[in-house]
Amino acid sequence: MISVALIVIPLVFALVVAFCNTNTARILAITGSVINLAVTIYAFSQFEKTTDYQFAFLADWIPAIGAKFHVGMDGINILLILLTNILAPIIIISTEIKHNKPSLMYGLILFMQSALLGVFLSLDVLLYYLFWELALLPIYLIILLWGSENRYKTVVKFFIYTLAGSLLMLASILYVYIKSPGGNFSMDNFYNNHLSALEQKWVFIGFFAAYAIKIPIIPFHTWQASTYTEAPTSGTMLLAGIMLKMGTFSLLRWLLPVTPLALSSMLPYAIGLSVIGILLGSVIALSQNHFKTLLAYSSLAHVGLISAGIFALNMDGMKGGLIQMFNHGIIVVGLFYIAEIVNKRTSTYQLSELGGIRVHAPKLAAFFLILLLASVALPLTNGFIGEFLLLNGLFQYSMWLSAIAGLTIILGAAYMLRLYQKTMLGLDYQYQRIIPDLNLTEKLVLIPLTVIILYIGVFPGYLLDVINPSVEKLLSIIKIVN
Amino acid sequence: MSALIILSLLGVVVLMMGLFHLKNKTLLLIVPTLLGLVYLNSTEWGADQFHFSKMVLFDKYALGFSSLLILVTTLIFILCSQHYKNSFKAIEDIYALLLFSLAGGICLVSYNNLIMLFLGVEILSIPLYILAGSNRDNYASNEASLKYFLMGAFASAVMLFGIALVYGATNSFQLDEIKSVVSSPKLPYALYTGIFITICGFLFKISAAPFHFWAPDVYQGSPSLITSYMATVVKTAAFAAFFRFLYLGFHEIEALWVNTLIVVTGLTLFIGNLSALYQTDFKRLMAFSGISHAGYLLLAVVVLKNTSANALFFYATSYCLASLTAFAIFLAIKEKTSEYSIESMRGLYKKNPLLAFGMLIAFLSLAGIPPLAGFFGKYFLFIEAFKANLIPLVLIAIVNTLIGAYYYLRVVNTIFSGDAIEGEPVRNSILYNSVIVFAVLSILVLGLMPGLLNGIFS
Repeated sequence: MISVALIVIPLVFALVVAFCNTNTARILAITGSVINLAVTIYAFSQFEKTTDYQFAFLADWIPAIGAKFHVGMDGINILLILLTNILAPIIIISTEIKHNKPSLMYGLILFMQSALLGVFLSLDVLLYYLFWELALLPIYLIILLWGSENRYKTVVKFFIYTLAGSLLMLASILYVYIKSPGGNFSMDNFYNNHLSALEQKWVFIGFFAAYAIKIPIIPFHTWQASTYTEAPTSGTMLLAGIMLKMGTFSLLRWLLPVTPLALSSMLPYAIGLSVIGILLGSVIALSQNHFKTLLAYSSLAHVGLISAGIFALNMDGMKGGLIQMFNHGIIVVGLFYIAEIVNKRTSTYQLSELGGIRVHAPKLAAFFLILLLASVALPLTNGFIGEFLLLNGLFQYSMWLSAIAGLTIILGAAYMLRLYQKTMLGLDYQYQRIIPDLNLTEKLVLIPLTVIILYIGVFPGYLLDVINPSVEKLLSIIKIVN
Repeated sequence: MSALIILSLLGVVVLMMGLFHLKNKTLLLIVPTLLGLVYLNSTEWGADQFHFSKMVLFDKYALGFSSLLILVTTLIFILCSQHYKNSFKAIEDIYALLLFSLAGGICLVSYNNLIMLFLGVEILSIPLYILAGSNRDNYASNEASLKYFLMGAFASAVMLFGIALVYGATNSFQLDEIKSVVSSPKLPYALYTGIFITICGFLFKISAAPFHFWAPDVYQGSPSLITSYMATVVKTAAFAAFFRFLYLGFHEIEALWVNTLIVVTGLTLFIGNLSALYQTDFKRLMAFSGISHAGYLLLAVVVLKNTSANALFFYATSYCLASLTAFAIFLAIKEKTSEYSIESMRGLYKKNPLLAFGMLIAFLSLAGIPPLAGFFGKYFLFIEAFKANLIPLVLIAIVNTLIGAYYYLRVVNTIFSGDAIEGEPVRNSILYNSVIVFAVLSILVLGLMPGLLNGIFS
């Protein structure tokens, strides 16, 4: 029942919140998301380190075609559920827009939270697909209603791109559904689909298209930078923090176990593309002059590493991938929030027009530094453990690829420190701006993020233990066939 | 069956009411009666009954589709109450013609005899020729009427010719008898010609490519509510008739015509969607979107199974609801701006957010985004086509879904962007809004619980 509650609570609050006035809406939205967080923490504390689906709920949904409403938690999705519910209140608190009915924005964020949790919790493919598409709707509206000047083209591009992927995935799902022996949408049936290697190859392509667009993996990334840049910051946080994890999560949940026979022939390409993405993202980030665009490309590089690690098909890669999904979500939301704070005070995202903020706002600079160091995977921050495991996993697959991917750490340090230098350091001779330091709301957002970063950086063991059994089980499913 | 008789009588009574100066009360009679008919249909559910010396067969298929037609027409009648209040002197004529046309639609979904099919087509179409021109002071409306009449009459004649050839070859108008004849190994050539020519007549009525040219002009010129009637009720009735024609009569010789239909399906999808990309006029956009939806619906006809009848019904329902919502909302705005362009909807979100969200849901449902009814409509059709091994056709349909999403999104973008052109808020009567709310809620409910309607014929 807890799983259902997690989906229903934000949805109910979303419907109520959308019709309130702004102040009530803000308070109600925060309440709703905090309640959900509390439920999640309770579930997390009760979570047993086994491979079972816990807090599961199963009911008939469309009996005629064998679709069920089946949700539950295991080691694969528990971290993402935690991430979503930690970030949702933080994103809601950080949202302080004034125009276009802000109450609707809070409603949409909660709606999005509900849909994302649905994606992570679903154990039935059709249900999963439904939530997957449902998550597109609120983010589309958020960008459309509150995005910056040039959003109209961007948002259509984003929507069409993702829809294209989703439809290909749908084709794959339908194919497996029809050909599989069970004739239903349950996870077990999809895992034991008895398709031939050739058929699985085509199914793989359909699924992979959807995830490669969502993650994004080169060359399906062209929607990303412009969308991140044009979206309002709450939207960017949702996109980068949680929504792209839908893609990396789905690799583990659906792509790999549904098409194990196709992996030996397809994975080299997938890893190759991911590693190219790491390099390309880093190199482009090096020369960006726009705060959010730079972060978008850095995100491309980091996520490329996550998918490469997962595709390496070993224990370290997968565990690293899961941990890093969580960590990357925390870090990237913080970084985008810093960009928002800077923009709020200076009305610009251009690095060439920034500088010397540290003098006026030392606390802001300090928080930024912690987030930044976590992003470049400094030991004792949460970024380290994830990237270390990922690189280790990739090393077991191929030393050379791992070496290339390892460049991300060096390049990452280069562009992130350059970013820090351009914005925070130096002196602002040109504009002579007075920049106020963090206010209460901003601290309320940044402090929890920093605490999580440092805590996980020092004690990563518990999270790893929680996901261990499920990852082992997943690997055994894949390895049996290969 | 009683629905057919009561409807015809109702039409006459409505005409009479105009005579006795009761025209303000007509809707009070029509709407409850129509709802009563839906109930009557539900009482006949499950018992397959022949009537009029086996001319019609009221099976589940006929009852289901006729209920859908009646329900959608009821909604259109309620919309009429706001829009035609002042524009027509003889409003009862319009109402009566709509009712007669609906009676034709019911013949079309329940026929068991090709004569009845032809009668149905004519009873459905002839009132429509008049209705299309009912805005007499408007040139476009007159033009639409004439175009529709010329093309429609031609198509009916072609269809009749085809029916005559089929009769010549099989010696019967009864579908069940024809079925037993066509399963014999040696068939006369006249039968082939007859089937193909009749199919051409049908393709015209459902506005499938390459017989679609009349649709945009007629949709654009006709009074908007008549357009919405054409786009929903007429199209559904024609599709139901087409499916029934092939399913009851010529299922055995599927191989003969199936390839033609596959080509027509692909063509209709592409022509409808690609042409819709360039439309600036709302009604023309809906016309081309209607053509593309005819393409999806044709998938059900190509597959031609009992299960695909279910898929056809589900898709038709979701399409009718979404189209009707779109038309209703557009009409409400048009009242204020007296423009037909998509641009006139710019800033609707600022003016009236609820209408804007209604439009959003209607258009996303048409585009096939879950969890709306339109998604499951497409889903069921795709599954059927997949099972029938029509994988290339499904891929074509998927590509077209993507193209469709683009132009639907363009409209949504217009609605949600910019400031309102005129400050005046859009206000509707409660009845009008309740139709929109009902349709939108149905789209949502069918999207979340498609099991409610799926599989009702099996």
